[in-house]
Amino acid sequence: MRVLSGEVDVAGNERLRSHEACVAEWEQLQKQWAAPLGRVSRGHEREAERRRDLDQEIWVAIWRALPSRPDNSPLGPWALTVAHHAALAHAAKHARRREKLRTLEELEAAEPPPAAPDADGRLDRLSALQRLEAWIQGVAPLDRQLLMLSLEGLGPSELAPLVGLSANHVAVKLSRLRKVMARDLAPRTPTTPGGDR
Amino acid sequence: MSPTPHELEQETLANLWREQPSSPMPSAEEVREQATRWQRRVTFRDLLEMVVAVGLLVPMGMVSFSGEPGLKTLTGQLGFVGVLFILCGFVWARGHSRLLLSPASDPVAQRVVLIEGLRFQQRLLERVWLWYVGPLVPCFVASTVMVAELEIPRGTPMAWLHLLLHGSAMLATCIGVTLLNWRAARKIGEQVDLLEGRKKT
Repeated sequence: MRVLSGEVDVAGNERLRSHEACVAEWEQLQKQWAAPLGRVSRGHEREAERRRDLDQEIWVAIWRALPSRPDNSPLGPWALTVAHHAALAHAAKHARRREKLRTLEELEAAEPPPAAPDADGRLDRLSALQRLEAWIQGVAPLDRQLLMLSLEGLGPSELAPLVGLSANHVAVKLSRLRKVMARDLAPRTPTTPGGDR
Repeated sequence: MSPTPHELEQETLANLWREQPSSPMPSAEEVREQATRWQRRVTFRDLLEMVVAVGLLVPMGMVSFSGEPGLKTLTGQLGFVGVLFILCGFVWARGHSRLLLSPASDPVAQRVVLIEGLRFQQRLLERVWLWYVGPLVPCFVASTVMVAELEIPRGTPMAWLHLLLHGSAMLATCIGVTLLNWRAARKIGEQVDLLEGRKKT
């Protein structure tokens, strides 16, 4: 059992943060990382009602994990990882109702989806955002986490210790993911029926 | 070197992602209250389950062990022991899951904990025959024999039909519960594969 307020846990090798330190770190997260943390649920949950529940689960998960945050882990990326894991646990809970998720290999092998119908080939921001969200939500969990963290500006070297892969492996995965994402989401002028004949 | 069209597109998508509205982050005081409420909900749920289990078991035990010796009493006793075994299994599983749910410090350890928790659920569901259906089989068998013994008039087609229906219902329950749990285990297995980044077969 973990004991709060600066005590040592049962393993004897980990000093937990005091309540005051957790509050200070929470306030730091609010100032610097509120927006990226508040976007995590958007990539993992489609339904608005369940997304609100997920937000709550994420905040509670970060708060509960704060006392045992390792000193060598940068606060923001660490909190984002906790948030993603809370979201993955939430997704696992609701797995039966979910659509089939696609691995990177399946994404690469799939045909790009048809372009959104728009007169000049451009998408309005809302439609583009909805397409982006839906695309991210359909990606397998590990790839989804990598992609979302990279969209928040984290590079392979920052991501590697968070997901337990080498920086090279992360870089390769991200490069492939971004390529498929750009291919699938790029605004294209829709072809008229018979136009390519 | 000028950026490729793909790189430009990626930058646009990243900007689009970062400019969207995000859920507001609660204050430290609010999240502390949320965490306390969450903990209270978990404790209340556990307590309620315990009260329901005891409320169910005590009268069941009293009825089962106070009757006249015979097949009916034996069936009740076997049912009581089966349910007791299952409830003990639930308590153990809940305790084990709680350990797995305690927040891990290291980000990689968090993933391991999450996967381990799912694997644990998967193992429980795969072995449902052992800890959920199995303990109730003696009671089901005894109840079927009881139906055969009690059926009046014995040996008539209606009696055989009654016995057949009862036995089939028991068997269908066992098989149905097992298959549903195996299906759930398979779903969790797929989740674990995805979480571990393993390609699905």
